[in-house]
Parts: sequence; C-alpha cells; structure tokens
Amino acid sequence: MEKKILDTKPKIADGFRIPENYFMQLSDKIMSEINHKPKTIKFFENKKWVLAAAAIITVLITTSLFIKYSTKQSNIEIETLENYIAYHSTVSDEDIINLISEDDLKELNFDLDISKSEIEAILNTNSNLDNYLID
Amino acid sequence: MEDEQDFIQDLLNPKTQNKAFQKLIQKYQRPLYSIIRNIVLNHDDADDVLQNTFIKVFLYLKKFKGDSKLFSWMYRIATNEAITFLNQKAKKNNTTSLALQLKILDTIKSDPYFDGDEIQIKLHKAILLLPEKQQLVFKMKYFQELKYEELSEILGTSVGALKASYHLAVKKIEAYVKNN
Repeated sequence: MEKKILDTKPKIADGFRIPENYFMQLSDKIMSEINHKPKTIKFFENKKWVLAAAAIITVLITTSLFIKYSTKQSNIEIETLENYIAYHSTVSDEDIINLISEDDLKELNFDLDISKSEIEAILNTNSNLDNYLID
Repeated sequence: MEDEQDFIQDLLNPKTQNKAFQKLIQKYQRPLYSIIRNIVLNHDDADDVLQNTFIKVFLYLKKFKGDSKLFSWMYRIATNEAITFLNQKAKKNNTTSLALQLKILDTIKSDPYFDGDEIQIKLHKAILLLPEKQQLVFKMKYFQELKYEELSEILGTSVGALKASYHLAVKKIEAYVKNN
C-alpha cells in the first residue's frame, strides 16, 4: 500500500522559523505598548475639570436658550393661539377623529361635569338628533 | 498555572495586572504565534498580528465572561485577527486572500525565516485549497497537536464534526500531494 505523507513519522513540520530571541523580547515590547496607551486616557482622566467646565457651559447655554424661548411663548395670548389654530389650520375635525384612538381617549381621562338638564337642553336644540337615534 | 479564576482576578486587579499579563504573554506567545504564522505565512505580519492580539486581549479582559477557557478565548481572538489582517492586506493589494497566500508561498523559499523544502510548500498549498474552517482544524490538529475537545471550544463545533472535518482535510491533502 502506498505510504501517505501525513502518516510519516516524525510529522512534517510547518517550516516556519522564528528570529532568535524573538520570544524573549516580545512581552516587554507588548507591555510597553500597553502601558503607553492608557497614558493618553489618564491625561483626560486628570483633566476632569475640563469636562466639568464643558458641562457647566452646556447647562448655561441651554438654560439661557430655554428662558428666551419660554419668554417668547408666554407673550402670546391664549386667545391668539386659539384663533390661529381655528382659522389657519388645515386639519379638519375628521382628521383629528381619525388620529385619536381609543387608548388616547382613555388617557385623556377628562371629567365631564355636565348636569342632566344641560344634556337634555343640548339634545332638544340639536336638529340632527333623529339621525343619531337612527344610527 | 494556578487556578484560572484567580489568575483572571490578578489580570484585572490594577496592582497585579502588569506582572500577571507578562506571565500570560510568556505562556501563550508560542502557540498563538504558531497559529497566526500559519495563516499569514510570514514572520513580520505574524509579529504585528500577535502584538495586536495581546493588546486586544488586554483591552477586552474586563469583558471576558469565563464561559470558555482563557486559552480558547485568546485563540479565537488570534485567528480572527489573523484572518482579518490577511483580508485587509489582500484588499489593499486588490486581490483575494487566497491569491495573496499562494503568491507568498511561491516566493517563500527566499524567506530567511522559512526552512522548509518542496514537500512543505506543497503541503501549505494543499491546505490553502481547503475551506477556511477545515484549514483551521487541520492546522490546529496536525501542526499544533491540539485535542479535539480544545478545538471544539475554540471553534464552537462538536467533536464529532471536527473529527469528520479533519479526516476530510487529510484525504483532500493526500489527493493534492499525489496529483501534484
């Protein structure tokens, strides 16, 4: 039977040589690389005040913008807003009905404090009452 | 090496970290170098990849969950690093990693860090023609003599499947050597 090369003893080596002393120096090389890298991180860690200053500046800018923005809003009267929405909006009642789901209604949880006599009065004056009753 | 859990604790503790990591490098540098060199084929590239592997091991030690042994985990990092390196090098040279490896083997005789002869070059060429995973199985089993159980942990494949894979690799290599 023909002899197979992978069955030979000793095994065929991979043939790769390594430079002399390579493994003796490697760990020092890697350690110096590793210890060099975290130094960059330490520099930022020691400069925590830079981060603190940046945070304060951000808060100051945000606050000033917020005050400016909220002041502008409070100058507008509610009536003006209502009028704007009522006359300039292209959204119809139907659109709003379609957009509101059952869950939205539940979330609204508004309190309908209407007396029976008021309901009766509204129903009496509503000309479409018959249509609703048929539905 | 002492109990692996204790050793991992030493690696994570800033006070003992440096000494423990140096110990880790010295213990695993040779087997990791060997698998990397068998993938990238030349010493300079293997040196780069091995250093990157240890740096990654150092950086990701905190994330090591201990689901597998430290050695298997490092082995996975090393093989991934070597394969990624090879793919990137091939991309830079506008070629495939297989074509690149074959090209290296064509001129490997002039490499001062290769002392193989024709049969060894033929063997490396035959290995290159195997599917990627089969290549790893063959190299780890034949050259590095790892146990199937160790291979199973590194490659996440059952021992049975690995035995079949190795057997198939051997058959293909023998056929290649016979016909070439």
